[in-house]
Amino acid sequence: MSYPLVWLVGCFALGIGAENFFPINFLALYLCAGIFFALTIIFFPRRRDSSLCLLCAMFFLGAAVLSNSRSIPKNHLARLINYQAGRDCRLKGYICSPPESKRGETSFLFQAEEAQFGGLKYYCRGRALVKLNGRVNFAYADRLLLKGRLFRPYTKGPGAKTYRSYLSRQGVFCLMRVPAPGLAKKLGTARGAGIAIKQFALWLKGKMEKAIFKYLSALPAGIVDAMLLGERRGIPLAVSQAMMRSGTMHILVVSGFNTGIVVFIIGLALKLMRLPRKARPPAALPVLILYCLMTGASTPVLRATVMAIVFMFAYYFRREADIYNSCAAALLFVLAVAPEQLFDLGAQLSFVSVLSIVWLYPRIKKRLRADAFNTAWMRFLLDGCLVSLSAWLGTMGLSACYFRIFAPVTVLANFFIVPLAALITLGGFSLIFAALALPPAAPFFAASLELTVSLLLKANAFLLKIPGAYFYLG
Amino acid sequence: MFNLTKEERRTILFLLGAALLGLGISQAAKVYAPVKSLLQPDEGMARIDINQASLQDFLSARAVPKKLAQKILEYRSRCGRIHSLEELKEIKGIGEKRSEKLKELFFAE
Repeated sequence: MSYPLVWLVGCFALGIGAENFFPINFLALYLCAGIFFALTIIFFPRRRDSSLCLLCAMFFLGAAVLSNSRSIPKNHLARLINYQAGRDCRLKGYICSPPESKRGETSFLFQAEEAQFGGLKYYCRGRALVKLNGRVNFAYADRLLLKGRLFRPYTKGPGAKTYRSYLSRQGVFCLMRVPAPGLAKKLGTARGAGIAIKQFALWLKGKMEKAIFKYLSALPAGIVDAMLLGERRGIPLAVSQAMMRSGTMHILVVSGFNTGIVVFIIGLALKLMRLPRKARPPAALPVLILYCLMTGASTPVLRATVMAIVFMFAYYFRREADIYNSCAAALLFVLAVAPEQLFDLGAQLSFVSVLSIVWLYPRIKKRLRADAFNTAWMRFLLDGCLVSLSAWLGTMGLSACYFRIFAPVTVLANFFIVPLAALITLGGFSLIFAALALPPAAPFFAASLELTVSLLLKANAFLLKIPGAYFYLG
Repeated sequence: MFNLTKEERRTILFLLGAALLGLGISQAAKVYAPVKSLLQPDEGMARIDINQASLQDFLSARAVPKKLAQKILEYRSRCGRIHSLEELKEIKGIGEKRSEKLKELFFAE
């Protein structure tokens, strides 16, 4: 096997997919995985048979992991309420996601610890998505007592069904509606090592957001906030729809590129601090994890972080890092933590685009004999086009399936917009750095950043006006 | 001095270039008013003209359900042209909330 991890993770993912379409009892899957694991040990001297058994074990392990993640524990919050009809309830627990306020409503994920229905109290676990009417000044990790109506997401109609499955992918099986801010009472702050780290990451994120919104006007600030910190609340709906039509939506999320820049910045900072070469990867690791937490640890960021860690350790141990194996390691990490991510569009696009660039780009380049060009700028332009084309070809099927859109303008749009997005990302980090370390220089970085954002939006609007830029399917 | 690599020198050049460009822009914005409009992007340019929008445009924007989108198209063909998005409130099913969402995605000239 040239790529052992790719094969193993492929079988693991296949097992998850198979369990999704043909659900089987957890115990049966667990036994099968155990049997094949035992056979792998028995056939250990016979390499071929042992490998085959190992692949089978991974397949059943994947299926068992999904089955396990879908089973709700006995004391789960969702088991305390009927299928659709809600119940009035008093819920005690803590906020486990940064609260968001939109259109006079505050929403957050709530980790339940105790539920009270009438005179009956239950110790419980599980998360509920709380929607509170009005604006409140709550923060992550605040312990609260909520009074409201607890219900499970409705399943009527295809839209609602999608929303329900979307919530369940995040481990949320209940919704809670709190009609007034007065019905939420703060009891204190939750404690724990994990909570403290995340609190610190969110505090840092808040500082960075403050710097972005201080020096930039609303729209550029919203776009920079999304590209750097993964916060998309500042992007108008029309802008994100326009980006979706041109196939450049991916620049509005934190991706591997951002993680790469963070790695580079850390490396440069450590170098300037004269830290020995060998000590740099372990020193960079906590910062990278902190950035991952700051951006909400979405799958694309997780993928990029795991891949960066694999590359850093390969450098540390003087081993050659392989892009396919590191991508597989990232997929295994994501699926082991949350197997439902296999069906998440963001996760699919993230892995498919990386793999299609890595696999397709060198092949197309070879076929077109791109190296024959003598001038460096011609090679640079062609490389940009080919990377964009490879990503588009790889993700075309997924885009057509989910967005019902076919956008030939994507290749051209990415050719212009991706370099601008790269400049915005670099400029954004420069702005934050300047705002924190050298505030008098920050307005200059902000001015050039606003110009770049303006150019990006104008380029996108112009490209969408080209006849045949995009077509709707079905 | 620091034995910087090619990429690291490029980074320093980028930072310096961005600061210089910004300095020039902020000075130009003070002297020439049109520069300011170039700097501040208008989210309106990402919106769709409601008089040219197709049924698919409405559906992909997920602003209104299919039946309501068809009603808007019927209204447009009946009136010939939608002059203001406020007019849409005459259609049954479009209230204040939906109207606000439509304004975020479409414009009428």
